[in-house]
Amino acid sequence: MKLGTYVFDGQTRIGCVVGDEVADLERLYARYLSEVEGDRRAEGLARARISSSMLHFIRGGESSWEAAVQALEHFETRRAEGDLFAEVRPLREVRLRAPLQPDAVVCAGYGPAQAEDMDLYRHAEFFVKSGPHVIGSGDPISHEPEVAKDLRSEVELGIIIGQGGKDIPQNEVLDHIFGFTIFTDILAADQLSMGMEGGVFHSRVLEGVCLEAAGALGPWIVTKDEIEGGVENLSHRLWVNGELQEEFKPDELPIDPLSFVSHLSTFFTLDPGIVIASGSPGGPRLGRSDSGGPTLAVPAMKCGFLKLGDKIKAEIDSIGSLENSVEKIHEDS
Amino acid sequence: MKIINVEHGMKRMLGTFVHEDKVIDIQECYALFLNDIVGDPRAREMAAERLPYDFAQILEGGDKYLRAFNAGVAFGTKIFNEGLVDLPYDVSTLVPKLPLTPRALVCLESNFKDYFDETNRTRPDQAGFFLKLPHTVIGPGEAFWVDPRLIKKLDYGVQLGVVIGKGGRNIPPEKALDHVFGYTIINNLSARDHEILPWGEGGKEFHVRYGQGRNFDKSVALGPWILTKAEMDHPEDLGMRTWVNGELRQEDNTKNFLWSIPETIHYVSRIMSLKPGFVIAMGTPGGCGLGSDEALGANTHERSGEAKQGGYLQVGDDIRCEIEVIGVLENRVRRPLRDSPFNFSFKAFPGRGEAVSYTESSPTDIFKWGDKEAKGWQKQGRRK
Repeated sequence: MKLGTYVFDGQTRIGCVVGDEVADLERLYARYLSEVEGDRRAEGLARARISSSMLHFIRGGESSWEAAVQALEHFETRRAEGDLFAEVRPLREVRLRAPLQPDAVVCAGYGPAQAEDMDLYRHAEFFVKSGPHVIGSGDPISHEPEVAKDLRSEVELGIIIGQGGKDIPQNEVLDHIFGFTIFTDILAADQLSMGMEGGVFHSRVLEGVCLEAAGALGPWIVTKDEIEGGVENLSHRLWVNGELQEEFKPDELPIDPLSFVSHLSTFFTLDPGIVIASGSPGGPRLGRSDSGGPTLAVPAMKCGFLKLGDKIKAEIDSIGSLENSVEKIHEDS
Repeated sequence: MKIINVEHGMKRMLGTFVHEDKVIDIQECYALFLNDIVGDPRAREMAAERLPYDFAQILEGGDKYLRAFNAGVAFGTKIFNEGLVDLPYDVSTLVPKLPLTPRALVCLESNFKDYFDETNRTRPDQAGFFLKLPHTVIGPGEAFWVDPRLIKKLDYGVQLGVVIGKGGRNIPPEKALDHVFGYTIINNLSARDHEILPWGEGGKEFHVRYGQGRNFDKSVALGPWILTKAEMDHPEDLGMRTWVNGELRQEDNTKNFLWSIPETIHYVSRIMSLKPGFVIAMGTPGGCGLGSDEALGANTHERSGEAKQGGYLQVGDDIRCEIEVIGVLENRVRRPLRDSPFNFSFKAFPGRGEAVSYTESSPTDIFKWGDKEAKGWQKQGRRK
């Protein structure tokens, strides 16, 4: 299932993308309940099971999932017989938003510059990004050179947790995952590489990775049952103004996405509100200076760094593509 | 006004003190106000809708919600003063809870010269900022559940918490305090063994990682209440102290901040807009466990003043953080109810192929327990 959050007629809804249409799950389920089961509290039940919030729906677990399946089956059979459905709109009539507004995004941070330097693995890091600053498909990526000059973007696999938990073994990680989406990561290279100060190498994790647009999430969540052959083998591609910047499969990364989830779960409880982004090969790289101390390299993209007006397109096979453009946002307190 | 969040029997509520040991339920008072004064036939539903117990939702709701909140408080105080005896709850019957789940928790590592001296660092030009996961925050009286096998150097740190009431972007310093709703106490824990890694010749340089070092379950305590801005006329002249098991460890004053509250709000809001319900933790003074850890670069010296140098936290320790005018936040360190099935010989980071593990044992030897026990543990996972 492809599940997204969208705005139609001024209302935020969650829906399932079917072809070039999007079906309002809560209203379809209410219709199913009232038409098939003759339930007189159909709307209230649909709000409890599905609601208009993706987080509420995912936290609803299996019973919410079954409700969505029943709603869609009902829609497909009834429409084949000619019923009309106001609950289903063409995608071009709605505005997609981030499929969910996370509490926070946890990103795989620095990877070692050379895979053979095993000691560097100990220094690998993860970042926390602010969830309320995550944007959706088509939203502008702000660029204010006086705050952060050299922006780069990356395409990363966004992992949406289903059944939360702590201390999840690597071989059971998939049981805890609800689905996958695309996360376009935004980093400020100039800020990150300013980290070395007074014998201490700080990651400047606010200035470097928590900008006004912390990253873009979308366009929808593809549930894990639709990913064939494992997420490690999905091709990731990033274009800027139509020019291919990077192309890779998670299989080629130093960090394996599912092991990363297991690793994080040893530190904190996972929850659908915590979206995990599994990194890309072009991200910040730890290396060694001549004296053996740490260095951090944040390479430019093929096109250099982002400029105002750039159009970014991130694509992952079997999921879709997510487009955003770089703009200057004027909005003072 | 002190805004608290408490449990009374089966009921969770947002309350405020109307007397030193009497608390009113603000939602209930607002419902009474709507019913008695406005004559609203849907008083209870309206009150429940406007005044949920998570205060961050009220801040996010904006003016309408805050007006309802103020009306509830004013009416409750009025009828209490008129002697409606069964309205207030006695504070001894209430269990304190987290007053607000931050929408984002923005932290300064430290904001005091003492801390930088003690940890042997030159003062950075800019404060070190990082974010913590909002779902790792616990309330007053709750226990920090920490597995000593995962975290060996657990450190404390009292900080002033600034609660943002009004969002904004590029907030000028002179207007910064207009965006503050109130103040609270934060005890910001860190796992120094994961946070600070020695580097280079003789381990004299350090790599500071705020990811692993600061984000683990129950790694921040916030409370015991939010003190509204109106009752705080000098946020930058407040003594702050930490006791561990009754021994004074940290003592400083917010007048020694290197970066003032308006400067900090201005700086952060330039990078990312602040939104209602965000909390800024203003950094901890010297006297942390880190200050006596030479392996992590501490410059151990006799501390001036009363505070004693001590080590890291151990299971069973009681921590008491005090900030003048606001109050006292107390928590205890405990082992998790159930041990994790991991034996913590896991790889330092899930790299491909061979990777260095924290311990000598094989990185493939991940589980001590069988799958069944591991499953049982995961089902305990927190659900909201």
